[in-house]
Amino acid sequence: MALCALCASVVVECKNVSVVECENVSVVACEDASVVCMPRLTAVLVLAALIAAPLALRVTPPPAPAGARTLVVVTPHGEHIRHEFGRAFADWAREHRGVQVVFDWRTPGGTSDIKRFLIDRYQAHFALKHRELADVATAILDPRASQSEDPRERQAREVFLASEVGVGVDLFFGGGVFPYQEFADRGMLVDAGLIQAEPDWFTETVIPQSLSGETIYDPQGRFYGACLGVFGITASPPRLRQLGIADLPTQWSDLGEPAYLGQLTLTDPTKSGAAVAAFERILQQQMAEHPDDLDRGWREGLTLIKRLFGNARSITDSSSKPARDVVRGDCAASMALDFQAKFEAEIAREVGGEDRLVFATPLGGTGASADPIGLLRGAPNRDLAVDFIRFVLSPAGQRLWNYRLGTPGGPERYCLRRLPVRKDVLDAEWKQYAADPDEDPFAVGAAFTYRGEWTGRYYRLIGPLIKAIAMDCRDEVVAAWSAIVVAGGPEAVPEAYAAFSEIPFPYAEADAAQQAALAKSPGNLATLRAWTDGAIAAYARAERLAREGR
Amino acid sequence: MPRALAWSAYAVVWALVLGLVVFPIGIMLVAGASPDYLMEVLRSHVLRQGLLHAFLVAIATTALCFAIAGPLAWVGWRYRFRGQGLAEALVLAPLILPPFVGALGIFQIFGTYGVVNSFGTLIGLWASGAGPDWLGDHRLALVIVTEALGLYPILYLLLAAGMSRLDPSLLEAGAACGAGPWTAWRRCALPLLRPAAFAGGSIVFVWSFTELGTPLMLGYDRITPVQIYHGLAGLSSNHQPFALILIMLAVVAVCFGLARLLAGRFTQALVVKGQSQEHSRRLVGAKALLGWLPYLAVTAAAATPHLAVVLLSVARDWYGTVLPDGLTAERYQDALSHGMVVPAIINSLGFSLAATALGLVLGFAIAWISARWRPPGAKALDALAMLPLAVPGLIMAFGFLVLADRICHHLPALRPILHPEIFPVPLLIIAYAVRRLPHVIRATHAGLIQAPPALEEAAAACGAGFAYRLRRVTVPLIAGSLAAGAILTFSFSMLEVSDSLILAQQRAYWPITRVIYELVNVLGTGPAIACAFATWAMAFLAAALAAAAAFLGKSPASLFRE
Repeated sequence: MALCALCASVVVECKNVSVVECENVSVVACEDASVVCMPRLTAVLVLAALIAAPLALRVTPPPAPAGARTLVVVTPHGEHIRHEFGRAFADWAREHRGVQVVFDWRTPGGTSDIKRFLIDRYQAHFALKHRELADVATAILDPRASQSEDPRERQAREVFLASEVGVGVDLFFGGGVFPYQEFADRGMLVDAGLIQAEPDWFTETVIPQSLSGETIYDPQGRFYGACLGVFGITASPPRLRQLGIADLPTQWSDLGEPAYLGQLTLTDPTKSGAAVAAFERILQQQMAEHPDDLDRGWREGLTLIKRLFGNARSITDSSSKPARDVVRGDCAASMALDFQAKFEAEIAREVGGEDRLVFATPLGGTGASADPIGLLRGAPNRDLAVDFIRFVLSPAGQRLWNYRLGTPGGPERYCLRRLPVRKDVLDAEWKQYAADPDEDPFAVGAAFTYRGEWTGRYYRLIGPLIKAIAMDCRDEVVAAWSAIVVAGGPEAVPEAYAAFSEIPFPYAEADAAQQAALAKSPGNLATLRAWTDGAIAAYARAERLAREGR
Repeated sequence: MPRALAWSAYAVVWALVLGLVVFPIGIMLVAGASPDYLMEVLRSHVLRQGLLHAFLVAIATTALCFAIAGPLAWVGWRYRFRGQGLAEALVLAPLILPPFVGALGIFQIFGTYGVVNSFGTLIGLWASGAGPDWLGDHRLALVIVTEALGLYPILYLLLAAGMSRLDPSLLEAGAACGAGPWTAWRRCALPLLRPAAFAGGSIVFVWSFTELGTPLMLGYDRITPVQIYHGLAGLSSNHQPFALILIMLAVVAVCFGLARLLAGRFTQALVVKGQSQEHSRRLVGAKALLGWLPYLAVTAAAATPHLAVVLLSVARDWYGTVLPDGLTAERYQDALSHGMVVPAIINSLGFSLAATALGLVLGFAIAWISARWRPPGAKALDALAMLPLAVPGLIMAFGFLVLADRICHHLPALRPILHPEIFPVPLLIIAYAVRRLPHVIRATHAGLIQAPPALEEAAAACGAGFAYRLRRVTVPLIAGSLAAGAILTFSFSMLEVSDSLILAQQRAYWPITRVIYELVNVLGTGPAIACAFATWAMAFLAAALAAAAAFLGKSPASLFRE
């Protein structure tokens, strides 16, 4: 055996092999056809080994039984939830309904991707089915179209709401209450009828309609909270120690302190429904501190959010990523959901043997919120879809959210670390088998009351507003806030901080602002641009004033 | 070819370009062509800055790519040394790394407790965790360097192919006339290399101008592609992203035209391609190591994220240390035993091979029409086929969805075999092929420009028919360019993300990248499992390229030389 002098390929030396051409490559010809030159043999063997490895390791799932029905679910949930609920419901359906079920999980991305996907598909399918109204198909999902001056838009909306136009998908599963409320308003979600079918479940002692003011299920039955999540703060103890921050952050306002300059990872609220909910909690907490002067709370809430963006090191498009930045020590703290933090902390503790991530729930600044499931209009497998919702809300489904691996009724491969939406499953058995037996989501919210009337009606405004005044002008926010910090903090340069704190409109004008921001495009763009331009000018002024020590 | 048949084929090519390229893009852009949207973009300070930054990144990336690929290609052309095939293969490493997985490697290298800072701590430069925040404070520079280290192989392949077609007798003639090596190179070789440089440079420029993944993953958000991506969330009601794309296309068209003017008219090669190896000098002994040096330096820089991904896949823990703390094979077990993996491999291979075949046929036809036949409309055909390079993948993917809707609207019988909601395979193959069509066209076009038409004319004069000439003269002359186009199409199809996310809706049709994307999002060990599967994918792509090289009897990089 030898190496080609030029290309380093391995060639076999044998009496039958002769190199007939090798200007710079190892082309080997062999008089005996049974001898294969090594480069080819090696390449084939390596390729074969690479293909064989997954084939050998593959755990072959049982083939879909003949006559099995397919349930189509669009979801932002990850593989772990899909696997456990898919498997458990298939067993349940076989046992209780005598049908074989296979799942077709559609995962076009995060909540915003799913929204885009569903809106696009509903409009396309409507246009396909109602060709005479195809030119106004964009109006079908717009609740304002019912009052449109264009009679064809009104007609299209009416026809859609009375129709069974579907997109070949049965259910929307996971993603936070806000998108569900929006989809319900648009007419994409319909009543699954469970409130009437299972009246014993929808009571204060089992599944309350709301928890600390937050919606758990839609009274019209268009969506149902499937599990609960708690927004909180994740922090990296090693990073905090290195920065000389003695106390772990326990309040949202801690994250706005100068010590965190360049140390936060935040999530884009136009991409993630969870991020909107987290920022809304900041507004809620600040407004709750000034219940008689909501405008002040609104202003202070938005200023705190701007300080957070001033402290931001990076902004992600998914609410699950900041916890990863924290556990890696790339940033000192972030906002995250409880289960995300638990997952990352546990893995880090297992491999590293130290606490690289801790989680805190800001007292009075957060409560448990629902992660819902809803039936889509025109679901091709409506009965099966309703059964799946029923299963998810049943005690068996609820236990699956938090039971440890291998426990009776628990998950098979992944421990999900989510909290149930049913109060009645938090019993002795729960204490015995749950991964987080001491966590009571219904108690977490006790110190926090969500006032939907304050900010809930502006949830579609919060994302675009934060984008306009903090994200689109992130360089300017950071520059202004850094200048203020360098000058000694807000107290040392009050004029600069006043400029930094300017917001585009007071709370009293939020209705009008929301209408302007959500007006038909391109009409709304001028409003959003004006907010951004105004913010940039204010940040430039703040930076200048801070440098002047004012 | 009979005249009627030629024009019919020309019409078919036009129809395919209009239907598969122009329509999916056009339908989305029409929405953005409103003067209101365009004016809003121009009025917005932030969006104007985004365009400026995208332009600066493209210029800097292209310049850096020339600085990397030019000397490498020259060394490869000028010198021969032991193991050169391996060295040339190594510098192609960026072609086999899925970009979003590369991000995991970059975070591990440049993180606060990452490799670079840990090394600094080790040699006493700073305390643990007190090193520079590379990802936080140096985003623009990292974007440019990362893009250049990912894109230089494209330019390198085309320059290497171009140099291999240089006729050494021209340089010898220059030397005989008294020109020094530099003058001979500058006056004889460089003008002949302009088509390859233009082809590679234009691909790199447009790619980096419209690149989304790198600035997005590195958190550099005041740049047009990221602004478009952020605007996609409200696309159903706000068409401003389309207006931004329209403006980007206009900028690309102007730059393309200007570059073409600056590059001058390409002269057709007048002589047969050189078969001599006399221009190259053999380096032996210690000098061979000098030949390896630039390849090793570039490979080390470019492959570091790859290496980090490989190490992440076997690391038990990697926090605050230069190398992983403990190794494990568990992630491979988790990744390769997953039920999604084997179907994804089969899907990706099938889609990518089919897309490569489709892209080669269509790309060759367009390049040949544009470079050889030049009937009326040929330039427009060439320009339109380049559009996918300037349009973000997500937009094109939605365009294909609309295309499927429209076709199925008029021909409902096609819905079961054409609509991605039911059977996405045809559309995925078309989408993959169309996305990489510009690479095939530019590579093939450069090959045709440099290949002397005199040989085809001679064959025709001897009575060879069109098909015979194509098979025996044209295709062999530009085989390297076709190989470059094919391998780029195959590699990037195996790594395509946007089309896969939008069009491969059902799990049964998920390709490899879609599965890696899923695994990345699994909480806890998800990224490590994704790294394991990505490492397998990289190894597979590398082995496939090596196998292709072995069966063609050439080293991977020399595949691109005729």
